[in-house]
Amino acid sequence: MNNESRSRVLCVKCQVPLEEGKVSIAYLSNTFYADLLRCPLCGQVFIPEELALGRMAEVEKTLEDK
Amino acid sequence: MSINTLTQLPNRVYESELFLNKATGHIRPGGTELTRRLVEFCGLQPGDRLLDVGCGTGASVAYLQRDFGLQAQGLDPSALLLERGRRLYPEIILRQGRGEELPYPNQSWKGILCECSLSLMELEVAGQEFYRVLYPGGWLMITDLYWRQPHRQSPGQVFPTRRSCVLQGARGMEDLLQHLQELGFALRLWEDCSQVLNQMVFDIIMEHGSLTAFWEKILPADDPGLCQQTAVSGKPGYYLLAAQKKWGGERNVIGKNSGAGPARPLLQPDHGPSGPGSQR
Amino acid sequence: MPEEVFLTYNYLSAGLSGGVGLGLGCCGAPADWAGRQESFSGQIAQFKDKWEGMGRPIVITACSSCYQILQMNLPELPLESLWGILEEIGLPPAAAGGEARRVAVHDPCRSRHQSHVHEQIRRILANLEVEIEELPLNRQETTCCGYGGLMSLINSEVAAEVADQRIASSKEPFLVYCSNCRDHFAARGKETWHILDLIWGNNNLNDARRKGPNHSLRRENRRHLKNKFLAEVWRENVIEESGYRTVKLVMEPPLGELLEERYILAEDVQQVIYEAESSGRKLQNLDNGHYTAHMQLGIMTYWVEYLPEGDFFRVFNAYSHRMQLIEDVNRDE
Repeated sequence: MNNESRSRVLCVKCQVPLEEGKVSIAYLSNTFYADLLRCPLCGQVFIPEELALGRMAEVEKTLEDK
Repeated sequence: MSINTLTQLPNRVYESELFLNKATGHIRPGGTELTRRLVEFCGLQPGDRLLDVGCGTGASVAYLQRDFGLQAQGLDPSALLLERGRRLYPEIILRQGRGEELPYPNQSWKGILCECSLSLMELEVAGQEFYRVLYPGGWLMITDLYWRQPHRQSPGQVFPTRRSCVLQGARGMEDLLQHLQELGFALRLWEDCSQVLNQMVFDIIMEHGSLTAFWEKILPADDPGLCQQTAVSGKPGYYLLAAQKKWGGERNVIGKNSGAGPARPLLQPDHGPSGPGSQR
Repeated sequence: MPEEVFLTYNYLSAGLSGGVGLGLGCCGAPADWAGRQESFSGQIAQFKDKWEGMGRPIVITACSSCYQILQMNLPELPLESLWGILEEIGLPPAAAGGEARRVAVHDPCRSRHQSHVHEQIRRILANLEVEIEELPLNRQETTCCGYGGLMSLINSEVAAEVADQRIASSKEPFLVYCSNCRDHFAARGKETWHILDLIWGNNNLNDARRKGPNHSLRRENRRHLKNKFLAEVWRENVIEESGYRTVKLVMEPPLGELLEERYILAEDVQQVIYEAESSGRKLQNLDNGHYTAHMQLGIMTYWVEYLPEGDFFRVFNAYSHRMQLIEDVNRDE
């Protein structure tokens, strides 16, 4: 991935900035793949508040309503 | 034959940038997983002729040619998508045309693939065309949306734009299966794979924020809340099916290869070449 | 109030023969309301086991919901309402109407079929010389307060409307005998006493105006109450706080309210921070230096933004989601 501006989130354990990468997310016996910021070494993911309370909440609601 | 022109662009939801997938050029539910399932089930062999009707940018055509060695070609009414496809996959043969008027001779294809596109066609007409161009024993492979709980009210009243999207053309399964049988196809495989819709819903929401935001963008004239409600209340599902053109008693076909034959045809009929680029 | 539970227990211990036990657990009503049959059955089975272990005593309930749930699901239990017991043994000396001179009685929804309880409450009030205004819909026709059935969790706007509608039906302060009705009406600004308030002399208008505890404080209160009982009544050793409970939080009041709205407990925040600091697995925002860490607790994943501040941890934000992250080590593409 080419990030012109390096992400402003650091993995404290590995001391490297997070990069965009494929992350698996599970919910209600589904597995999805999304491009999110994660540590290239240990895989720790970052979910910012807008994403958690916005799109993720929307997906959760839609799947729950089905 | 009539070809849809670029002036009809606003009606073609599937051409919208919103369905663009960076990698393959077009989003479709299930990716290659369902395509593989179908091709393997039907036992298609390297060299077998397969036509992808409603191929879009030709992602499946390329996949089948590369991974299965099939002689695959694509047909789509959208000049826009075909152009995109020719750039992405210069190695495959793509042609402009509609399922209702296939520009191919009778019995010239071993298999026809219709991924998330049958709902965009007039089933009665396209179905006859499929039957016509398939070899006896040839395979019709379909993946598409269907209503698990068909609406009492026709979705056409909610999505007024003609042929705006598959949701408008999708039907209940009984209807479709009966039609296929009447046309002379024998159903060999049917599976519900509604799970794949979830990934698509996920992708759409991640990209656009919500399903209603999505509806607002692709159908700006229609009420997004009502579109969403209609889409959800019919309980949309996704299915795949494989049907085989029956052996013997051929109807609209003139050819040597009629009459009962073995379950798996080993030789192709030789009553007329239908190589690449042949005209009707 | 928590202390009223303590006082009531001691009063019953003194006034009843044969010994009085205490149950601070749950009858399972929320699980029942949520349609979680398995969870609910488990809760009921647990209750029954404990009851049998205690020698199958008479069960005294202060709450009409518990009464109804136990009556329906454990018919073998000899059930009594606390109000009837208090009528029998007499009210404590502290009981007085105080500033509750005239009240409107709101019967809790679950008391609809407990007409004996309706009368017990009214007799107690008469005893305390408190004048009663009967609401237009009362007893078996009483209305919802907005809390029950988990309405206030699922749709707080509708719950507020329901409460407001009931509140508007009388200018007098309310008298209730369900703790959820009490806190729910008070949250909407209505002066509301719980009958135990009057029985223990907490009968000022200020008492009626007090807001109920937030979710975190509610749990804290229960913990403290249990520890108080263990220490002072059963004289058992109270386990020292350890692990994540040692994490001391500090935050601005608006954030406290936000966490309440988001149903994030202080102890959820404590667990996230404890885990992050112990394992070192945390992220840092390079612009403001704040740490962000997350942890899955049950079906929820909680995120907390914080910084250590001396002995404390200052919390800047917290949020949650239900989708579960599958974080692999050394995963590439």
